[in-house]
Amino acid sequence: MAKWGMVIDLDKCTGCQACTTACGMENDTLPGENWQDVLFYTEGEYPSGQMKWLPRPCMQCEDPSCVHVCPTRATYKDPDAGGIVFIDWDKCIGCKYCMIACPYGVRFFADEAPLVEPDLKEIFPGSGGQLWDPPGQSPDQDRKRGIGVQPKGVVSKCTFCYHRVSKAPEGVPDLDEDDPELVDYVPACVRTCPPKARFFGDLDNPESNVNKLIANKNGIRLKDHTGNRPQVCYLGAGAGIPAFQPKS
Amino acid sequence: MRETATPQLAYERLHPDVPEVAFLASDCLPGRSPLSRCGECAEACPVDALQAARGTLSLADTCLRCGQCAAACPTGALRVSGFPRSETLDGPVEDSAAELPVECWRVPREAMDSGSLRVPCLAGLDSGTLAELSALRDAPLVLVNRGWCESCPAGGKTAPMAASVAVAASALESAGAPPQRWPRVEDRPLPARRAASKSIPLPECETRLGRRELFRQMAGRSAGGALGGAGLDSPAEGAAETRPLVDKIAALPRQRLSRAVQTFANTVPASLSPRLGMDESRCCNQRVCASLCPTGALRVVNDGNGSGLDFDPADCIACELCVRVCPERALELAPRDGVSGPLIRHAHQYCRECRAFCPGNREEGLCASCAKKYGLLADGGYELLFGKPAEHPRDDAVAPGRDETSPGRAGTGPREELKGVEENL
Repeated sequence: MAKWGMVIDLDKCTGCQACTTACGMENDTLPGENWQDVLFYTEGEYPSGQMKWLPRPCMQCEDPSCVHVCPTRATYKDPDAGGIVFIDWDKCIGCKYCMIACPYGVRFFADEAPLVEPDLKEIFPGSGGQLWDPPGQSPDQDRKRGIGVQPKGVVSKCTFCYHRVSKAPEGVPDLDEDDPELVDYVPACVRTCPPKARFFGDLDNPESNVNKLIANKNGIRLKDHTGNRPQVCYLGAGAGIPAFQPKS
Repeated sequence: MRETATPQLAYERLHPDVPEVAFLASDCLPGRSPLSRCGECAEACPVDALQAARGTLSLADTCLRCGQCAAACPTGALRVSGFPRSETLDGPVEDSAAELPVECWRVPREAMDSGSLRVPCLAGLDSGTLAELSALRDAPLVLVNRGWCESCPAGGKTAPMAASVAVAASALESAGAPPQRWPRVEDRPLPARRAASKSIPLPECETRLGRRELFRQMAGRSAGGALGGAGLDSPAEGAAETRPLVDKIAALPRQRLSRAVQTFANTVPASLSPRLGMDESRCCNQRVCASLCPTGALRVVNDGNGSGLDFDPADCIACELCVRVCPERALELAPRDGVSGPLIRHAHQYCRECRAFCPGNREEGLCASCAKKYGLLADGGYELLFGKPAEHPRDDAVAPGRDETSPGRAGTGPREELKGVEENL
């Protein structure tokens, strides 16, 4: 079985947040529950202020902290499903211990007062224990993997769009959005990225493009000292707008 | 009044040949959390027919159907048919002035009082049921010891029922119940040759004789099917829906005991109230404990005075899951003298960057997700992602998690217009 990994080229990323929007549309997440988020950092002050940003999906760590702390074994890493970390919504009790443990902050608990008004949970009230009833098309419900509309009181996270990726033919080295045969199996954020800053493929396959990119362009993993060993790598010298330099 | 949600739940058979024993996996403590070390059922089994490992039970066909596993289970996740369930009784019942003898199925009917309650094994009655059956009536419950227990395969010792009777009696005593209403064991020896069988007879031999009628006499009302254990004589197999773990469980044995003592006292006495000690300097208000609490004895509270935890010892089964899961090791459990009410309160905090309500006791003023956001740049993360910091020394301090002026400055964004937030900061 493949070990799915993602490569994000920060030299190409423009911080447009199309990935965030595509992820929300694909997985029907609530506003603020951005499984794929772009973090913006500001530094300095006018007139020499700078902005930097970092797209952040779930790292799908090889040794995930969240799995170790879960007191109900609800979250688990599935080596048979590309090494993706899932949440079993039937077992999740919403204790948020995983959110405390995750070094990357990529887990979300949407069953609280929202950051933005109006509260979509009230506008589209859910039925049958569901948190809300999104107006769009959701992926097929898979509670054991935390896919679909979530029930109340559980934690949710990026699934690498497993409902798409899992349908890919066996043994493909990369899920390339430019390949018409494979385009339907590409995760939403990768599929939509306008500057093509994202790549998705099999980290276990030495022939895969993602492996070549990591090797050739010196890919880095975030917070490697934690030993979590993310399956998401970053390339390049960072994404940002350089500071205004007044002419002397 | 005593209706609970449990009869609809998916109790499943543990062994196809032993339909009398039913198990509800979602109520089993080790099944809910690997932090639980509960193995009371397997320990209680007199013939080692029941094995418990990591929340899955396996039952051998050597099971005697004595009900001792169910009596030991703190949450009522196991049920054995043939035992009365006090939930289905309304109290106080009529015609309850006379004492009620309880006999085991091995005792021949001609040797016992006509109004006796018959159960497969006296040791299979849990203390909650004993206490509540006593509380519902004016006269005591008398468990008749015929002196056969030592040689009985389900017994193995002189009076195996004595322990739960003592617990029930002391519970009623501490609640101020008069001594004549405490359950007790009474020795009425009978020669062993008069026993109807060497071990507990099969239910077919017993039900033919109308256990239900006898129990109806005792209850003084039409008992209906529920007394025999609805959904238990024919437990559902497989297909039924399981309860999500996020739902709290009823912990019936504890509820029975609480109800029994509350017929005599307004509150659960101190000797039956586990005490949860809280180290307030350690608690970070993460509330993991309250989420894991199986019964809801520990609850999250958000009110005008802040957010924190409430504790109600009446619902506490002392499973210690909260103590073990607490990331800060702030909790400890003592067996008695617990009080109901607020356990801890933290002042409301709002993140100075995103203005979100943050339950944690966060000194840096950032909510968990904002702290994580800046944490990604700490420990060399910034250099890794963005290269060396800019040349301007003034602009150096990029990781604003450590920089007081940067992220939360007044007037940095539209969020400052959110009403009612500033004064709480």
